[in-house]
Amino acid sequence: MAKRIGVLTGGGDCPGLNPALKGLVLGAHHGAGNIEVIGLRDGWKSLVQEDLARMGPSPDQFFGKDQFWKILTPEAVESWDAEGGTNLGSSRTNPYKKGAEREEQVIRNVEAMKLDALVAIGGEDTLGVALKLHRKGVPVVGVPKTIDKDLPGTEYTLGFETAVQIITDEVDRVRTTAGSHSRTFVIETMGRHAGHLALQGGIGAGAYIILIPEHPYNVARVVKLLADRKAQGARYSIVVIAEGARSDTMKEPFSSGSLRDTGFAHVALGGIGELLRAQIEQATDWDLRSVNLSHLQRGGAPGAYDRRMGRTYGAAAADLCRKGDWGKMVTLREGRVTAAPLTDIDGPLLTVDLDREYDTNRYNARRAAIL
Amino acid sequence: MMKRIGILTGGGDCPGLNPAIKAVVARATDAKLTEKRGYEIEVIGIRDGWKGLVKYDPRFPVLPPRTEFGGGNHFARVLVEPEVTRWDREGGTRLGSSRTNPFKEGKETWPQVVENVKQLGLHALVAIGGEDTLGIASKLSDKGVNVVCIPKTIDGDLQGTDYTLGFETAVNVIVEEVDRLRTTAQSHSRLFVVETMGRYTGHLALAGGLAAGAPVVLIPEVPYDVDTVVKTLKQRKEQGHRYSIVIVAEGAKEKGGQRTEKAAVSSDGFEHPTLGGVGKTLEKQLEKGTGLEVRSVQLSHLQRGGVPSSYDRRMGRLFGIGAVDLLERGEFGRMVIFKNGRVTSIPIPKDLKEVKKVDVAALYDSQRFCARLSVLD
Repeated sequence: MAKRIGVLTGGGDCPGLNPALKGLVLGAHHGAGNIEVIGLRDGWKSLVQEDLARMGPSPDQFFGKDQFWKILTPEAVESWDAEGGTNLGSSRTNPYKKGAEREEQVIRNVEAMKLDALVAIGGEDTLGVALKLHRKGVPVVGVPKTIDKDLPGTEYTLGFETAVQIITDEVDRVRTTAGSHSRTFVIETMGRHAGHLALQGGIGAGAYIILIPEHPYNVARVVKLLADRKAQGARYSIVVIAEGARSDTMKEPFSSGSLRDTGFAHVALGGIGELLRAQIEQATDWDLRSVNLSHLQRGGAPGAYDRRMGRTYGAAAADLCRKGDWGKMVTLREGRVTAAPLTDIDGPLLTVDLDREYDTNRYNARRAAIL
Repeated sequence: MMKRIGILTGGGDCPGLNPAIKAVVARATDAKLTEKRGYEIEVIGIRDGWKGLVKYDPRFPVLPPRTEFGGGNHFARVLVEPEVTRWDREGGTRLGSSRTNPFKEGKETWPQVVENVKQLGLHALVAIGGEDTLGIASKLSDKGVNVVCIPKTIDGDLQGTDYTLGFETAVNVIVEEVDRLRTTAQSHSRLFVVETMGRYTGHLALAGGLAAGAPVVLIPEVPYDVDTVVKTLKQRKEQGHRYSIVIVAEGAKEKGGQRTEKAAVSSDGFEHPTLGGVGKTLEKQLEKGTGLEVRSVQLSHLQRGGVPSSYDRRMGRLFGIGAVDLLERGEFGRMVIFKNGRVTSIPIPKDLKEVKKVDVAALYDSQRFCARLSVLD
């Protein structure tokens, strides 16, 4: 059983991280034998510092310039579950970045900080690093988050439900303008490789067309579907498109071309919604607008679902630490919270099951529930 | 060929009913699926739950599409997709609801229901409701009426399913209202008691309490001990917390005490006592015990109002589609359910009156009266 653990949040922020931190801290401080929880600042960036142990602890709720860790007590995290983002900060620092490997520094810091284990809250990148460290003998536990909900091995990742709710809310807002001006709107959502967010967001919002990365779309077909509906008397339509979606004439997803030095070398996507809008406008004489929901989908306070799931995932991670059950990730399987081997994240990303969930004729969710 | 189906909503309203109705209409009248099926389905909306099928009178025939019921004698209307297309964004039920019980002892009207199902030429019925509405559906199924059911209740306590429409929106309402109360609680250093719905179970209070971050959650399954709650709250004060939120389910009661309820109102065809008021009692007990300033708020019907959250829109849609999936296959006498993360179906449970209780051992800390802090052991 662990006596002292470190926790960090890595990669893109999302609502649900702070509830998970609270769940972990409360879970670590109940029953027999409290576990001390050290909050590590800015993801892996803290653990690649030269001498982390001597750089802290930060005495209050704010990190000073050169402070990279602090002790998290139940009192300190009391109100965190109502807050979005992560109060520990995040970064895309990759200790395994080619040519700049810092693995040894991380392991030295874990030892010097006397951490019996690390809890990593993150997506494929953050958990990928955790898995590599686990293979080097560092005791780790993973907690999955990403608004894309495409991590292998789990039916839920923190942030997803709040993001879907935001899409629904924003489309509700767009509808008043769409209806008033008889304008069709193209709404671009996040979702790099998987269409879960666009599909569930589109369903929640009642979108007429939903375009996802898993099924390249045909622009003429989109225009035809919109024309059909217009002919039936609809004043406007809502088209939801995932940032990773592409038409059948494109080889790659649309990108503004900027490759950010994120440590994990991801191309910044975005802009496909505006491209599609222009293409539809060119083929018709309609007045259309596009809106890129962009970072709004990751912002704001967590919804009730992410607060509960965050709390539950965090508490489950504390249970694994208490049991010394390392190399695991907290997951949702068949509707129940459980633990799975962290190696599961090496599997293929969980994308939309076209046969079960998507109608490739209507470019929308399949109208079948019991299969 | 064309088959007619009827759809009705009964019992207390909640967000998620309209999304389900929309999905039934959209799925049943979908052009591609109709072609595949080989026959058309016409959807008849029945007004005010079972009351509509008791009161239907052929002299006031089925209203054509895009016609509101109004307050008159019409109890059936044709539903088409263009008019239901916005319904998924709306709370409550566009078809209206009632608590009429056609099997009420001494006042049985079910033969009228069976007769009207024939009169209307309904091949089958989709009933959306809770234990009462679906209990009627089950009895009608035994009388030979083709029915499929969709479960709803913000209490989350129906047998056989992990989800009932309205629950998630209600949990969201609790969280949002508690978020609002926190500013006052913090400013005035006050304790707040928040009373939720839930009838005889604590699913709603526990989920709401967990999401809202309440350190004390009192549920009907475990009678509470005032002294322990007082001790917890005093301890928190000593630790430096300016305030605390206590969530109490309307059906909760003190150890050795009684539930706070009023006798059944006779207009309710199902004779349920009205719960509520325990929050006020607790407010006084805690004020006396802690010596601190305490206020109580009863969230009451706010929990059932407003627009459905994204989750209830999606689940309403899935349940509605699932109901038509069942109808198409002739699988009658069944209820659409959410189990182990999937939408599927079971025969309508016979023991719907036996509500599903909170799994106390797995989810509740009976010593400290709050959500359990362990998940995996």
